[in-house]
Amino acid sequence: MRRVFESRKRLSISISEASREPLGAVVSTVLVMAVLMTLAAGPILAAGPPIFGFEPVGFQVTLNGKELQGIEVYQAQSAGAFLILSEELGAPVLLRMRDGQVETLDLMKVNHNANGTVDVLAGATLAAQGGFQVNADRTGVMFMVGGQTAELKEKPPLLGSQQAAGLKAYDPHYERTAEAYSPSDPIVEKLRQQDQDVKVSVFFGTWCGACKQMVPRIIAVADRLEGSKITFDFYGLPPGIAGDKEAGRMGIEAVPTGVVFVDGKEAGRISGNGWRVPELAINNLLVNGQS
Amino acid sequence: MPIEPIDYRPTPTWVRVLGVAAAVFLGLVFLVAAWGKALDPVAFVEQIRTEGLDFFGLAQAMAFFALGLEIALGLALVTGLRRWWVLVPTAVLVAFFLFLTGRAYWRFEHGLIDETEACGCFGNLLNRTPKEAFWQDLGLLVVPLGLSLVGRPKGGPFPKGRLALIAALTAAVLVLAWKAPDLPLDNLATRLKPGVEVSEICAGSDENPEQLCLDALVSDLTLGRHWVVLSDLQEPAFLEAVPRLNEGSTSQPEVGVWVLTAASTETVSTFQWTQAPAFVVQEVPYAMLRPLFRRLPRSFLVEDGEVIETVSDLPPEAF
Repeated sequence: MRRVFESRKRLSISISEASREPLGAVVSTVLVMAVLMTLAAGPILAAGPPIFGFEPVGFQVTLNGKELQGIEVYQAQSAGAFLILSEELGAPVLLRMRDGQVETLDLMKVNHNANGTVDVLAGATLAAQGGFQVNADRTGVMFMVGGQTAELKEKPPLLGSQQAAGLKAYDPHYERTAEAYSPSDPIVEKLRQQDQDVKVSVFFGTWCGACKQMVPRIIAVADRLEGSKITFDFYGLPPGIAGDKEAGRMGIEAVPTGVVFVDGKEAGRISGNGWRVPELAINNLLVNGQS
Repeated sequence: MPIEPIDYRPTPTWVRVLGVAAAVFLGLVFLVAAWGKALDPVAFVEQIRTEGLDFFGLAQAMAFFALGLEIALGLALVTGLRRWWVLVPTAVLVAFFLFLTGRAYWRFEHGLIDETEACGCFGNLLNRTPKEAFWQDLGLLVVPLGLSLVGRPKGGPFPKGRLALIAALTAAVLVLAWKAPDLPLDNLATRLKPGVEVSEICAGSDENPEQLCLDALVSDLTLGRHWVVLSDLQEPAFLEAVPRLNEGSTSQPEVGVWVLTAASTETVSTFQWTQAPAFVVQEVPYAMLRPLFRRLPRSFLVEDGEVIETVSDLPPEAF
């Protein structure tokens, strides 16, 4: 950057010198323009290495302060990179976090895989857009793309009553991690034969580290019990829990906590280690009254 | 007039033995508790601050004074010294310990503190709830203190030799405590050592329905090989090692790399955005993390849910 600036400074001096002779000035200007264009194009266009395994993640993107709709955000954690696909951004935007670089690339070099992941193919021409900076509340980064101010940041916490589908839509992490968990078949089968109406209300926070690990397991169990007498709902709480009326009414002090209702009456609660094997905890609570 | 004979009956031997045994037992309790603090004086200083006992900001001086007193009294009792100038300070110290554990128990019962916030005088080595700490201290300290008063010998020469020995040993343990943070004593001073299962690394007691153990939080650790780093995400040594840990976790996908932290959400967020780690940063309760280290960062290698190696700082270059 500094080199480019110094080159430009030197060139501006030669323009003023050349302007003293009309013919020389035209030739010099053409030459200067050519050199400038080369200098300008040289550092910002580069062929990037392939980056494989971008996974969909739940972030939001704003452009000039306005939230973009219908965007796709992917993260390749091993490469330390984000990829944003949005029509309004014009071209796919690649944020290489470890290099501090924001670049755009040709959509043709973005390959969607059958499993939902995305690859940036070899030879993609990367057009540098500059760097980025962490935003004031540390929830994301701000950068320039096509001369406009963009921001990639965490979504606000999911609050209130939600269904599993709502969580999956909020952050694909829930679905991906839920798919990796296999509930015990015999226990699921036993739970499916339950003849009383059972409702499991799971109080959680999208900001809570333990919930990120445990809630997907509960979603996996909820998916397997779909169509049975056991239903689930998920209640998102704000950071710190305190102040939420529903949490106060139910006496929730930690998340994730599951309140199990049988025929409308509270039968018990599941929390902490109880979520190691959610289907077992629910079964134990229904059979023994303890998770 | 005939002189009445004085009814002099010597103290029965069993009473004297009982008194000595009780004093020795009480001394050993003091020494075990002092040993835990001497190995991790930083945690003891932290505990003094948590208890609000760092008068005039002299937490460190208070810690070393209390430690010295506990060792000296423990040694005096173990060597059979049951003079009033040993037993009175002992009674004061016992009363002080009971005040602390009793206050924590009261606060816990009234919902003013979490059960993990106060666990008594044994430092990081024992996992006790405020209730357990109070009742155990009552049993372990008050009963032997009372018994050590019985069958005390009257008078006797001043025990110069024993006092010299006690002074020398106390000084030695205090020097050990002073140097302990730099000595490779992590496995002795913390609950994290080879052979420990990740299911035994927990926040909260067994009776607490909200108890959370590491295997429930990070179930991946129960299978395969993983390096786990404990960090507050701000130590320069750790930040310097992030590229190496990234490289390790991508070049050897068969070995998982995890960072456990109790740092604030803002710190974790900043770390994620500025460092873009290739490994998972898992937030854990401070109560789970604190008994596992004397100084951060600290690392351990887990295989199929069991800790097989610990390192005082970061994982080795090649893992």
